[in-house]
Amino acid sequence: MRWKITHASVTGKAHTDRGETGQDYHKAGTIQFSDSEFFIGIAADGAGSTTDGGRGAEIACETLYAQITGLVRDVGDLSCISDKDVRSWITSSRDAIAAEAVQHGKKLRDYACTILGAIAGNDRAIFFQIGDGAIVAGSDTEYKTIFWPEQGDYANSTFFITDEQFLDHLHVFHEKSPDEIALFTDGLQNLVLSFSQKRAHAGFFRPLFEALKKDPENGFPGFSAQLENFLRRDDISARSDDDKTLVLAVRTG
Amino acid sequence: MNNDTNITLPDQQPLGAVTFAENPEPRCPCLLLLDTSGSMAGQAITELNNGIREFYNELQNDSLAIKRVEVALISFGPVRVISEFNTAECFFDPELVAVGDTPMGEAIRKGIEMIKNRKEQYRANGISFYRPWIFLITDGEPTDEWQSAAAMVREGENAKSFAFFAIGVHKADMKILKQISVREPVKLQGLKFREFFQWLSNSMKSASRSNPGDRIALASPIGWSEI
Repeated sequence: MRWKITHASVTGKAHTDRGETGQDYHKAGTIQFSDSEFFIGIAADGAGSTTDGGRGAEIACETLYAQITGLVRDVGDLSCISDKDVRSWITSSRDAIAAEAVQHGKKLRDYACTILGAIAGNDRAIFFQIGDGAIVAGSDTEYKTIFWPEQGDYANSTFFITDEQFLDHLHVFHEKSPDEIALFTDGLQNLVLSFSQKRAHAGFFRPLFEALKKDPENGFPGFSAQLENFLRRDDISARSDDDKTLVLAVRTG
Repeated sequence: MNNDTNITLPDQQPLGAVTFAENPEPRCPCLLLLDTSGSMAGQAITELNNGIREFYNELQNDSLAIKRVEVALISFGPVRVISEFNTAECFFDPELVAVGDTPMGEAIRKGIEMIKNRKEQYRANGISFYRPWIFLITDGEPTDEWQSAAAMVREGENAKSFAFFAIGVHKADMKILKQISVREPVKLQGLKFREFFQWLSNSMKSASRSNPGDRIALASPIGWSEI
């Protein structure tokens, strides 16, 4: 059993208009362990009001990815990974961000970012999230959100790994490994989730997963380039001028 | 750039079938409390009407603001709800007339009530929203009981339920405005309503674009206020 993955982050018009770089970051890949393959996907969105949210997102994704691959290689079985492990990854990633903040004479909150994470193997999957954006899991034709985007009181507020009470807003969920997984930051959430029905919009996810399944090779560079062009399309920009990240994984064989 | 023919894609438009969820846009509510008492008669009320017209015009010409910014109008002298919260598409020309005294306390209480109801409607319909803004514009002093309204403003600001701004025109009693508004009241330069509304529409446009984590910073009121 293998995973086919594709991923892209694009900078939103809100940032390009001001000559800024994007503040989304992601890291996704697969690792082989004896006869099983694991998908690991992490995405983070740096807070728009911060100077270094984009850097915070990068540190968070890189350190989480390294810790997760390390532990998965050690144990080779996701049922051995507990909520406590997830909390400890998140805490050390936050420490890594704090260390860089100190080094540059900045505050931790200057590096504020959200976190989305998915690890999936043959049987089990683990998901975690702080803040908004969402993870959608699919099996056959059913799509469901693992966590709903967590917002504060107002549309422009959410929770970050750099918050004082970050563990209170860390959500972790274990379940049977799905066939399809999508992680996306808040720049896409208004387009792909129906807020009135509180569910994922199948019309968005189904064609994307189908196209990835039909794609001939894993990591075929043409597909992520197409995904990037897709995320830059005018009809998408008209609905959301924020940075957008989409990580997709489908199970094959 | 014709050197990419060595890659043949399985389908030129594999992502063509993707559709988006029909989702209501987040709302950015703005309430204007407008003094239309007798003292506003003449050029002041004309300039105010022109300013409001311009304000709606600006919002209508912005693709995101027209879907997200909701404006409500209350005039006082006597207190009247000119417009409930609506996006700029639903603009009608209010043609305010200056008459009567200045029941500012009642207008503020009515306005805060309207904000509260609107938020409940948003929540019931799963629509997310930004912190509402209230702008009080007056050229006089309250002729009714205003202390309870001032307490409601303080309470609302503390709870971050809304942001309240007071603008004084001409001989407005700035001392009372200071007691009503937690934020420092601003004095309008002459009758620069047009400049004020231009500034307000710019501020609303940028607020309605703000994304999670953005702090909404108001531009400095240069060009229409007395510093």
